[in-house]
Amino acid sequence: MKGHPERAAEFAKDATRVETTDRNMWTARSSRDRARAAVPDWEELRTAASTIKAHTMSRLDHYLTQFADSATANGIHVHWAKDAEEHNQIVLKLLREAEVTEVVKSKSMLTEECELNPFLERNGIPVIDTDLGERVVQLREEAPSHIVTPAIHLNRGQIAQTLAEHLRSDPDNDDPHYLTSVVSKDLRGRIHRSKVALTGVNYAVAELGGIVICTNEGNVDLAVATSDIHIASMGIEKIIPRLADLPVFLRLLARSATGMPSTIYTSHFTGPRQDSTMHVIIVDNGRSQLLADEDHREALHCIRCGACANTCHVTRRGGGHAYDFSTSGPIGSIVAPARDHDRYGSLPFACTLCGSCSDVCPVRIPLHRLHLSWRRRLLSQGHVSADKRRLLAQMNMVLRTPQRYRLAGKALRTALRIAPGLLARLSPWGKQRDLPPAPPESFRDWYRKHRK
Amino acid sequence: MSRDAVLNAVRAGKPPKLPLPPPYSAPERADDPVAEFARILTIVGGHWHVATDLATTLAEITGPLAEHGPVLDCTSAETSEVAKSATPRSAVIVDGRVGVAEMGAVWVGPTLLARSYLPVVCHALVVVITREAIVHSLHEGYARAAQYLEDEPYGMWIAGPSKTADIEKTLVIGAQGTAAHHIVLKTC
Repeated sequence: MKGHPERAAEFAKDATRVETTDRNMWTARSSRDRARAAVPDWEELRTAASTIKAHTMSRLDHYLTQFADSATANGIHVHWAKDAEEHNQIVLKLLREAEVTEVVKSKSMLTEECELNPFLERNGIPVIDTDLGERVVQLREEAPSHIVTPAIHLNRGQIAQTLAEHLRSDPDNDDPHYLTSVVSKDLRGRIHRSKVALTGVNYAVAELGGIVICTNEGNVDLAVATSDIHIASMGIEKIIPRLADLPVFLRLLARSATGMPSTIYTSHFTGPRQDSTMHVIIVDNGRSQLLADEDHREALHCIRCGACANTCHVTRRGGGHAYDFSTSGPIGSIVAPARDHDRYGSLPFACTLCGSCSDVCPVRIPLHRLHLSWRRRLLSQGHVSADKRRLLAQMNMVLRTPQRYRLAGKALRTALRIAPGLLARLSPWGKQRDLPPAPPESFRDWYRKHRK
Repeated sequence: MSRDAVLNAVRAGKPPKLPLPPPYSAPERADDPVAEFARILTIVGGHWHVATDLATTLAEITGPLAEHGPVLDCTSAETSEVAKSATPRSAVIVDGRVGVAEMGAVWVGPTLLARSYLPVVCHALVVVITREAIVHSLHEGYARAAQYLEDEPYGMWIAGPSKTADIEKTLVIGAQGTAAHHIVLKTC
C-alpha cells in the first residue's frame, strides 16, 4: 500500500511543482506572520480560543441541542447524519424534491470528506464548485491540495492550459486577473441558474441558532441569495456557545489563513429569507469517536485556517495530495489515522517534530505532540510497516546502553571514512544528499580531552 | 433521524466538564478608531472618503461608473421596491451600521434589500457611515451588531472588495463579488 513517503516522492519528481508549492505556501506563512505581529493580544486570543473550544467539547451534546432548537425556532430545517452516507442521502433527497439537474457548491471540506460530489454525480446531479481555486482543480479532475487554497500546487501556466481546454479561454494568457475573470464569468451564470446552493459552515452559534460562513470571493452570498434553497453542511465540532465567542475566532482565522485582517465577507445566516428555505445538516462521521479519544480529541478544535500546512516543510515540499485525505498538512495527519489506522498510518510519521505547526496554530492544538502520540499508538497496535518496525527495533537496541551507542558511533565513523559512497547508497538519507565528512572522534572523546 | 444516535455518541465520548470562560475582553485603545479604520481599509483594498457634502461625494464616486449600469441608492426608504430587481448595478449605496477599525469591516444588513446579494453583485459598493458607528475591535462590533441579528435573518461584515489569491497567491481584486469598495464618512 502506498503511504505518504511514496506519494510525496511521486510529487517531488517534478522540481517545478515542488518549487511552486513551496513558494506559494511560504508566501501565505509570511503574510500570516505580519498579520500576527499587528495584533498585541494575539497570545491571549489563542488561549481564549483554546479554552472556549475545550469547554464546548465538554458540553457538546448540550450545545448541539441548543443550536438545533434555536435554529428550528428560527425556521431552519435541521437534519442529523451519523455518517457520510446518511449526509449524502439527505442532500440527494432534498435535491430530488427540488427537481434540480445541476447544483452549485461553495468550498466545504466536510462535503469533500463525505465525497458528496462523486455521489451526486453517480445519481445524475452534477456539482459545480464555485470557489475559484476549487473550480480549477475540479476541471482538472483533481482533489484540492490545500484546505484554504485548493490549487496551491499549480502554477499559472497550468491553470491557463486547463481553462483553455474547458472554458475556451486564451491558452497563452496566464495573467491571474484574466484567468480569474474567465472562471468567474462562467460561474456567475451557473450560480444564477442554480435553484439550490450547497455551502459549508465556519461557525454555528448555539445561542443564536444561526451559522456563519467566511469567504473572500463573494460566491457564497451570490449563490445563497439567488437560490430558493440553501443547504449548509456542518461537522458537530463547528459549534461555539455564544455570539460573544465569535470575534475571538474571527480575529484569528483570516490572519492565520491568508494574513488579511478578516475575510472579505463574514456572512451570518440565522434563518431563511421570506421566499426561500434553509437546511442545516449536522454531521458526525467519526467525530464523536475522535471526541472519545482523549489523546487526540484536541484535533476537533481546528478552525481550518491551513496555517499548520503553510509552515510545514514536509507539506510544502511533499504537497497536499501526499496525504491522500480531504484535510492535508499536520492537522490531517491527526484526523486521518483516527478514521483508518492502516490507510493513514504513515501520516504521523511524515513529520520531523519541529513543532512549528503547534507554534502557529491559532487555537493552540499541540499538533506535533499529537503526531508523536499517534506514532506510539500505531506502533503498539501493529499498524506500522515491517521496515519501520525493524528500524525502530534496531534504534532501540543501539540507544538502550551507552556502550552500544558508542560502539555504533565508532563503526559509523569508520565506515564513513573508508566507504562514504557505499554508505550513501545503503541509507535512504543518501538518496538526495552527500553524507558529511566523518569527524575524527566523538564529541564525548573530544570533551574528555578538552575538559582539563 | 439520527439525532439521538449522534447525541448519544457525543455524550458517551465527551471529556469531563470544563468551565465556560467569561466573554473575552480586548485591551482598550486610546487612539482614534476612525483614523485606524481608514488606515486598515486602504490595506484591504477599500477607498476612504470624508464627505462634508454627502450628495457631492456620492456623485463623484458613482459618476465615472456609469458604463457598468444604473446606481441604486438604498439609504432612502423609498427604494426598497427597486432593490428587488436583479439588474446589474454600477454601484449600490447602503448604510453601514457598525464599522470595525481593526478589520476595516462594516456591518451591512438586509433591511432594504429584498434580495440580499446586491451588496455583493454590483460593480462598486458604497457604504455611508458616521463617526459614532466606528469602534476599534470586533468584540465591540459584535456587541453592537447583535441587535440586528435578533430580528433579521441575514447580515454580514464586509471588509473590502471581493478578492482571490487562488492563482499563485497573486492578489486579484474583483473575484466574484464587487470590484470596488468605498466607505464614505458622513460628517454633516
